[in-house]
Amino acid sequence: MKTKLAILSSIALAVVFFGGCASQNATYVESGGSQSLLSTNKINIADWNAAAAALVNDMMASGVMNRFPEKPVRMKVSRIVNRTSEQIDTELLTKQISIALLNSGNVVTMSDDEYTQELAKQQAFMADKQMPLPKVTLTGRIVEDRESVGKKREVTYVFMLSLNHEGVGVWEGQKQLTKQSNRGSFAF
Amino acid sequence: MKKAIILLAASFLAFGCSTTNSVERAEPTAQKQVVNDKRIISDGALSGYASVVAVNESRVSGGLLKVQVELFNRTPSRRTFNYKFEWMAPDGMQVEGATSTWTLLVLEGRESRFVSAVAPNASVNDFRLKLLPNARD
Repeated sequence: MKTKLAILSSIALAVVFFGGCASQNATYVESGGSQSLLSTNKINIADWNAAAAALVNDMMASGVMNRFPEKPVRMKVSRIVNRTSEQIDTELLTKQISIALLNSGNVVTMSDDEYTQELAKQQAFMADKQMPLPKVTLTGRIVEDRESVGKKREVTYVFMLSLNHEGVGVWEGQKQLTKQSNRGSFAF
Repeated sequence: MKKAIILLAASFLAFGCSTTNSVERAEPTAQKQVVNDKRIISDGALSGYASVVAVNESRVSGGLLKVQVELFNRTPSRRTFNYKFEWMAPDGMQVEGATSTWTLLVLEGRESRFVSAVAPNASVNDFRLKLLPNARD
């Protein structure tokens, strides 16, 4: 009797272990596409994409790079201040923007990599030249605003970017993204 | 028949339909460079509420192509859908860019709105706009 019970328990445990906890097969969806998941807990990939697209559109349409006759313009991505409640990698925004500007042919981005910078310094020294400085810098801030009324929860993320030259802002843009969700009955 | 109309009106009220009113110049002064477009509709339901009114283009400084599309929600209720611009080089090859991502658009009932995008580089001379229902609805 005890042996039967032990066998049955083992089978039940195996079923739970191998079947019950197994997730369904994962599928690929387009990053930030119409099927990617959205939540009010964090900045989702669709939000990063939407913010980057809006800011790139805005900057390209402004024609700000044409203020600088010397092309391509040297740009350094400076500090993006995170004023949200979560830890975020701001390169999810800035990388998309610098790629877009680089591909437009108007801008070259200066590397943050220490070895690359050291090499550039040495090359400048060998050629008896000065290390080139960035013409413009890209700075920004990401701010979060949360609100909840009844069971409804809302979060707004504001993505603000500035392009600076000689200490003054030559272009500024911002994109607001607001998401709402309903809290479950048993949510705390 | 009367009952049907009352029911329809009641259902609109129950779902809180709100449409937009707008005012504009009777004779617009802006000169649009309208694009003659070709429309391929494979989702009749989507085109039932999301319609393209007109497409116009211009070149912004630096020679980049800018495309503006007026989208209209034909229904009296709020609708959401996605749009994406794709860009083509003169040889017909697609050019990827940060502006080629699906963007969610929320339109109130009978609202029309302009959406625009700038091409990734000056060599781009053609585009395609895609519309997609919101799978999250």
